[in-house]
This record gives sequence, C-alpha cells and structure tokens, in this order.
Amino acid sequence: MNIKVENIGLSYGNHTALEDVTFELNEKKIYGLLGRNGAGKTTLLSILASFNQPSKGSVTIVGEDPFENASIMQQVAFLYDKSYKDETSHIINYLKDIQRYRPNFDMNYAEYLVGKFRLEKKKPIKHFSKGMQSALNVIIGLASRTPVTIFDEVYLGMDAPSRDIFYKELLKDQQDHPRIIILSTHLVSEMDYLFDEVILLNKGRILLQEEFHSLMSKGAAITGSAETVDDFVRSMNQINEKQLGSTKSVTIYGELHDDKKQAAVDKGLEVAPISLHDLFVHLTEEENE
Amino acid sequence: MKNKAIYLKVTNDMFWVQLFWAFGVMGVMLIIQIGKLILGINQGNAPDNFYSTFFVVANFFTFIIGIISASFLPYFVGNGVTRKDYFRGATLASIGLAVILPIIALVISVLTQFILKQVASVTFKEPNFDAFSSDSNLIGDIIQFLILTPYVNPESNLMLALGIFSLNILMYYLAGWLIGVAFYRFHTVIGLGFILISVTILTLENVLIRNTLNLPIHDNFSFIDLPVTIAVPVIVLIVLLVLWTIRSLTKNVTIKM
Repeated sequence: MNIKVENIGLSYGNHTALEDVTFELNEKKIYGLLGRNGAGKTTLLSILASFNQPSKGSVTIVGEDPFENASIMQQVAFLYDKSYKDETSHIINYLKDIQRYRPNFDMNYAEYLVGKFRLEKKKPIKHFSKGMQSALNVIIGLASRTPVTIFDEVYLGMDAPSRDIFYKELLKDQQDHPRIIILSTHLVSEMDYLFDEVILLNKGRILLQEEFHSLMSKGAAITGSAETVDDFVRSMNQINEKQLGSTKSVTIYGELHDDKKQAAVDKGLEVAPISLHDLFVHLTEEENE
Repeated sequence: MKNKAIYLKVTNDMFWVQLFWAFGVMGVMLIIQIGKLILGINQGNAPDNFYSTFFVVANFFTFIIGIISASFLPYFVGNGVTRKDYFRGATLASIGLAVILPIIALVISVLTQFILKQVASVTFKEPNFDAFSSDSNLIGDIIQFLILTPYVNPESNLMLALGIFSLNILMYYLAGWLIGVAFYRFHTVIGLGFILISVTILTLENVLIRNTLNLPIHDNFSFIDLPVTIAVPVIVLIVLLVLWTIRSLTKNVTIKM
C-alpha cells in the first residue's frame, strides 16, 4: 500500500485550504497528522477519502487516482466526527449494513468492540450520546480493517476510559492486522505514543514529516538547578521553560549531540526527550510569527 | 465484476429500505380506508378502491422518497462506494419501486374488494381523474394537474394501466431526486430553481402522456399537441435527460461533512 500526494492544493473562493502539499506514505504504520485548527487536516484527509478533489496536484493510492475508483475507495475508510442524529437503526444492524461494503470487515471483532465500549444494542443510534457515537466511528474504522484507515478527531466526546480503550485496541489490532492508519488529532500529548511517524500541517502546508523517534531527538528538556540550566542553554534555541523553586526545566529545539549531552550530565543536569506537544506548539507558533 | 456487485448492493439496499417505507404508507392508507369504509357504509357512500387512492398518494410518496434518496449519497461514499455506483444502484432501485408499487397496490385493492364483497354488498366508486375544475388560477391549475396524473383503469387495459402508473411515479421519484441532489450540490436559490424545473418537467410529461393516451388535457396546456410518434420518444428522452442531469450533478460532488 502506498499513498502519494504531489503538490496538491485546494481553494474555496478566496480561501486557500491547502497549498502545495507533498508527502508519501509507504509503510503500514500509524501516522499522526498534527495541525492547529484550520490548518487543513480535514480537507487533506477528505481528499484521500475521495470526498473531495484537489484543485491542483495529484493524489495516487497504489499508483491510481482514488477519486471515483471503486477498488481504491473500497480500501479507504474515513471516520470523522459524523452526526448520527437521523440514524434510527440499532448498532448491530448498522454495522452489518456497512460490512456489505467492506471486504475485510470483521463482524466478530466489531461485536467485541461494541461490548468493550459498552454500547447499547437495543437503542437506536440517534439516541446515543456524543461519546457513544464517536465509539461507533472507532468500531467502524477498526473492524473495517481497510488497508488505509483514517481517523479524523474521532475521539470527540469520548470519556478518558473510552479513549484508552480506543488507543489500546488500535495498537493491538494494528499489530495483528497492519495497515496505514492516519490519526489526526489535537490531543498531542495523550496520543503521541501511538505515532510511528508524524506529519505536521500548518496553514495548508506540510511543515515536516518525520519518524517519531528521530523527531524526538530534535530537541530535549534540560532540567536542573536554575543557574546551571540557564548557563547550559544560553546559546541554544529555547522553546519553553518551567521553574519550580530553584529547579528549572528548559526545552530546547535543535539536535543535542552526544558530547553536549554528556557535558550536561557532567554538570548534574537531567536530559529528557522533548515532548511532541512542546514541539508542536513551538513549530506552529514560529510559523505564525 | 467487483463494480457490478457493488452497485447491485446499492440497488438492493435502497430498494428494500424504500419499499419498507412504502409499506408503512400503504398500511396507514389501509387503516384510513377501513375507517372510511365503516363510515361510508353507514352513510351509504361508495368508497374509492385502494388502487385509485394509492394512485394519487404514490405521486407524493415517490416524490418525497426521491428527495430523500439524495441523502443516501454521503452514506454510500462514506462507505467506499463510488458516486457512479450510487447513481446506478439508486436508478435501478427507483425503477424497481416504480414497477412493483402499482402491482402491490393492485393486489391489495383486489384483495380488499374481494374480502369486502364477501361480508357486505359494497360497490366501489369508479375514479374520475379527468374532470378538471379550472378556476382561472394558473398555479392552482398546475397543482391540480400535477396531482391528477394520467390514469388508465386497470379493468380496461391492465398492462397499460400498470405501465402508466409506473411511469408516473418514476417521473415523480426522479423529479424529487433531482431536487434533492440540486439542494445537496448548490445553495438554496439554485435548489429552488430546480423545483421550478422539476414542476415544468412533470407538467410536460403529464401533458405528453395524456397526448399519447388521448386523455383530456387542461386548456392551459392544450397548445402542446404532439402526435404519438413524437410524444413517446420525447417522454423517454425527458426521463433520460433527468437521469443525465442527476448524474452530472453528483458526478464530482463534494461530500459534506
């Protein structure tokens, strides 16, 4: 499975939602798509799902244009914050209807997830709470087992235990049935451990695409006594700082070489990986300035 | 092969859901009929038969489910079905409904008449769909004309009667579908424009079928007088033109989220 996006752009009237976006997804892993509100995440994902067409550039999935391509569209599932306010069906029947259109759909797994999320089988879907409707989207996305599965802010309204079930099941099912999963999210610090690779979208453009671990090596959090920390980070690009009493933690952006790391340890400082959250805030802020 | 299977699944899904709705409407009608019958017998009035009552109701019903059928588009595309497969599937479903509904109505009508005749001596009213009462109000006339679609008594020519009934409700379905997709694709003003187009198409189709069947035509539209050899191809052409327009409007439509 391969997704290739080349120089795509999309404008609505005067508003440019996407501009010259290029990236490639080649491996069966979990991609985190991050971006601030209005960055163009949903627009980009809706193009991958053939809900929409780009006004410029091209998208190919396994070498073919996915738009109106029956064999490709069948392999791409796009789950988003969808309203079920008019859906009178009960959940099992609804899932059975979907199963007809998804060749890899696993009904047993879907029923297992219905139980896991404690969704009521005898209640019409339209009477589900917001969180329960989101859980339904998660179930559809996971049980469809499509080679490309896209979750766009799919956790909205879900309580913490339900989100936890989602993350655990996602990792477990990805291990058993690897596929390309794209997770678009705002909950960066909560979900960062799920990502194998991160794509950062800002103002309709790709800011970076990088392996999660290599991205994490792009910065560090230096903690220790305020004076020593200040002295150590003086010439570095500081993106965040916290202080509690005499202890200070400064997040720096930029690779920290081994000799520098050793120097920090020698000075009694603690060197921790940067958080994706800090990096995300920093990188998108910097673009705004 | 895969493609074929997908659009037939769409046909199957849409056909059964809509037929289920039709059964709901028929059920309610039957209850009203029975209620009216009880009162009618008491008052000595001859009741309408089920077939001719459903003949009028079916136009409204198919028009409305036609509008609703546009809302199946985001559901199917969301489940990985192409717009093309949706269109083909929904078209076949609409034809299937148009064919089956008159037959079901006729069977219910014959059965209810048979049963009633066993228990009481009831004579059913012969419907008169040709009597226009013009009050010089064009809008009113058009509405009346739209309600009273060309009717052929099944007792005089069964196949023709069912065929014309099917054609009528297919046109109403397609007109509704056209409006539905126009509102989905465009903003309200253009959507309203499509209502006007649909009403014009239905009126024209009505006149042309009446032309073909030698049924009376309202004075306002008597200027349209085509010979059968032209009217029939034009009727078919209108059906195809509406389908083509629906396909064109949905071909690349953005799915709203």
